[in-house]
Amino acid sequence: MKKIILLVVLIFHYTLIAQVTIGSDIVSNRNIVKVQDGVKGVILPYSNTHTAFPRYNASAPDLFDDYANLVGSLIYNKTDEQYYKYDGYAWNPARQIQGIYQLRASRLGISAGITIPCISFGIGFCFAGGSPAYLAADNRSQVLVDNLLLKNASNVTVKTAGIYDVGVALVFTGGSFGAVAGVTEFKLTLQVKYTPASDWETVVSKTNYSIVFIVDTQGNKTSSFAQTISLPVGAELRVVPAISSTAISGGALAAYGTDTNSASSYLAARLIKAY
Amino acid sequence: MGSLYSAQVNFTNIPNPDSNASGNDQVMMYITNTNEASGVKGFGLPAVDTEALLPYTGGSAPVTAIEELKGMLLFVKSTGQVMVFNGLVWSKAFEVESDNISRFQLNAVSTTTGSVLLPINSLIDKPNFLADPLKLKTNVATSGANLNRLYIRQTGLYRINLNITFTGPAGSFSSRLGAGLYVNDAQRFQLLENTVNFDGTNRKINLDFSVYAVQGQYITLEAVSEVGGTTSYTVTNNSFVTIEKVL
Repeated sequence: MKKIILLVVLIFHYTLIAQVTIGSDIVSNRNIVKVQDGVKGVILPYSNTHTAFPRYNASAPDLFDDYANLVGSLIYNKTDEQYYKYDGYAWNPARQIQGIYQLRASRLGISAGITIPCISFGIGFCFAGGSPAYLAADNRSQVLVDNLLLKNASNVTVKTAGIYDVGVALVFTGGSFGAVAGVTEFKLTLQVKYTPASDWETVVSKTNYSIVFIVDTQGNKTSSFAQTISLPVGAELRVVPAISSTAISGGALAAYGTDTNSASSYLAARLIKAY
Repeated sequence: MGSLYSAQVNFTNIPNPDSNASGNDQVMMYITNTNEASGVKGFGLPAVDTEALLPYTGGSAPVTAIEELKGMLLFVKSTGQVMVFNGLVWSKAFEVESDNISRFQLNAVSTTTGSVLLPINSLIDKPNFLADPLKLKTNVATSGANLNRLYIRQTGLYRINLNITFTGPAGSFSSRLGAGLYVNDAQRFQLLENTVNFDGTNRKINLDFSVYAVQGQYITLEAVSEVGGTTSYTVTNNSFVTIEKVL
């Protein structure tokens, strides 16, 4: 009985004081846990690979389930020899900027895609049509964040003047030509409206006609480029996908669409330097 | 109580957390998972909600350094950052912004088919700005398929710059040259540029891809020439790939 009481007292003492010093008999009253200073280090738990990390989920967009109780956890990954920390959404390498907390960057998914209609009278034509809306809700598990506050109710504008690195990726879907002879041009154009009153100006336009950028992946066409632009406050950004075809079509000519999967279709901006 | 912990401490239910562990390891504390298969657990740092709640800040900031608090760690939930206290002020414990760019030199490689995967040399040579803070080539084999691969260690948005020098037969060499990008061996993007023969022998491209990649995926790159263009050429080792983690 005395032993049990002693044990209980010790446990309560421990809980109440909640101070542990490791490596010394000098208790610090300013820390929960204090490891003695000196030539001996501390090794935190390790894992051989990230697939063994807590909350790993191969089907999650960022491979890890969201879990608030694990926030602040640290683990060492032997594969790439660095510590990782858990931010509530995913594990982040210790000395790199955490994706979703990178304050000078945004990655915007497509909230509303567009259809690019095509017609065929022996010769097929497709028509350029508008711009997808990059107003998808933020989703930290998909690394969709708007830390630059680019999104407005109906458009995307720059809030801080500076030089930006803008990345664009887009997937064209659909578009069945059957037998085709001729040239079909896929075009992706990044445009800026520098002031509300000005016209849209093309910053860069990449096509598979003069500059190939389209890769056929299981029927879809994927494209990507990055561009540096100097932008004033209020500048509006948009991406205009277009297809022009002068092909002689032996088959049906279906409309093209834009894929809204954020892994392959997005508009991203990073503020390199504010003016 | 204190003397209880003067030796090495294992916060595990196994007697020896590492078969190599010994009293000579200069390790004070092991917090080791029993085994990888039964589920890995991490080590939870104490956390505060915002930076404003960090102790010894604002009006409570110490005038002189508090020696016993040097090295204290706290996790700030609102910023997702681990902060370290030097006795006077708090600073980021882990992140360094310039550590978001890796750069590698390419090995020379030739093709007769118009496209060729680019061998990426993992050599670190910081005076020549070859470095790998993104750990894309750490513990990656330097031969076989792995020579061409860059392993993504964190899900996010990457900008990949390719600066490639081509040489080919004089007079008949294509002016439109470029590069392609694969994710886990699936081709994703191609870019082609109009080039000039800038010194009588060489042509150069310099282009940027934007790609969203998931932790554990690998990226490979290839040099390409336009369809119907020159199929025989050489990529020289005056070629580089620079990977920036944007987000």
